[in-house]
Amino acid sequence: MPAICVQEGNPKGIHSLADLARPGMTIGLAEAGAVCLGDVSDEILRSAKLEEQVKKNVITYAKSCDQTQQLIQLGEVDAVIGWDAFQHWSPDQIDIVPIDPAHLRVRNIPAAITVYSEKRAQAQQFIDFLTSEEGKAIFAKHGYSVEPPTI
Amino acid sequence: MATVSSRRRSRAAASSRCDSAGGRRGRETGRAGVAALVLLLSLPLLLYLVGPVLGLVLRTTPTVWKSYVCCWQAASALKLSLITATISLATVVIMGTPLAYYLAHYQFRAKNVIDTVIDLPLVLPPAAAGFALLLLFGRQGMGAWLQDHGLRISLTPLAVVLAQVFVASPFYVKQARAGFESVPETLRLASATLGAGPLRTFARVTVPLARHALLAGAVMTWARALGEFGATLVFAGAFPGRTETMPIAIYTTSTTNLPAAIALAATLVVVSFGVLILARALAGQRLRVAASPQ
Repeated sequence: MPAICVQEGNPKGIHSLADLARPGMTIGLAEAGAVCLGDVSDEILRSAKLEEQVKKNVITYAKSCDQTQQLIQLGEVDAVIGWDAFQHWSPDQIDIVPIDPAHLRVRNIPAAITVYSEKRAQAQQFIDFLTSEEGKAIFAKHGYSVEPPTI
Repeated sequence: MATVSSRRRSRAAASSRCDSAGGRRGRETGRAGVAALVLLLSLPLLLYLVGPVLGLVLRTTPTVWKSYVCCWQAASALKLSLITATISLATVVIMGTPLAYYLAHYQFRAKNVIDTVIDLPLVLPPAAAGFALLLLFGRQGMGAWLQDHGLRISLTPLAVVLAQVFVASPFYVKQARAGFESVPETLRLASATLGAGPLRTFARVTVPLARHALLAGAVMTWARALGEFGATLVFAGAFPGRTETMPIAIYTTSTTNLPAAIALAATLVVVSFGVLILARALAGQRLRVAASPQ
């Protein structure tokens, strides 16, 4: 689930998407087109009609989710739009500010069998494992939401 | 003062007068042997180096090139790359030349240590270098203090240059040092006895004699800076038009549009190849003029 990720303790007092557009903020975004987080971020900002204002504060675009996470972890920017799981990855360095449900866009992690697969049965077994209680527990352990959110 | 070229000519003439017929024949067989080895061993290497790059260029059709490379983002990435690589080269030459000269002509205790320090960027993977720079100059290092005083380094064009200087400096410093070492001390002393001061001797004797090494080092440093990817991505980020250099643009584009990425890569190859050839020609000419009689 996307979320605003800020530095531990939220030193800049960021409480909403609108705060990302405040003058003087340094923001990092994932790059749309390069990583799905970037596309989601754009959708969220567009929905909040803040795309233009927030992008004025963007000083860098990350190429991957981990890079986006590093930006906030190393304190290089005041906030990024990331995944709520980031906090789980670095609980001592990252705080989470929830995104207004009206603008929230949730992404699933898809799993599928490729058409080239020669071992469809085993591939299906793996997918079954991912969606089993055991698989869900592993996802939950690493900070991912395993049930559809209620918004 | 006798010029470099005339001295070399007279030496060549002297050695050819001493040639016996047998010696010449021996040398011809030697040359045939070397040619055979080149054909057998080194030609495959050359083809291996040229093949992929040529493939890159040949795969770029004019239509693809026109539709992607002529766009604003590619042009600004190319411009940024050329400008930053040139600034990095200038920085390395200005700061590295005295060091190379000092290492070549003076003996001191910490020499081995300094030698190893110069080699460090070569063994450090560029991404690791990027993290090291980010930790030092970023907000976790001195970046917080610098930013309070109005200077931001990480994720800016300045970081692009710093990353390039870090990874590319050994190529110039090592070559320049070898070049300075190859200049016989007697020539420098002769220049001094003729009344030239140290600076004049450096400019008129040492640099012209070491020109091939200096040029080779400069070319390699510029090329390495132009191709820099890992440290730049980590330390400078990838903001189109600001810190997105050509190698990063190629990588970014490849995730969404492979033909465009190939076109960008081909453009970088062609442009840098052209610049390198031109630089060699120009610098060679100017240095020949510098070494000719006044």
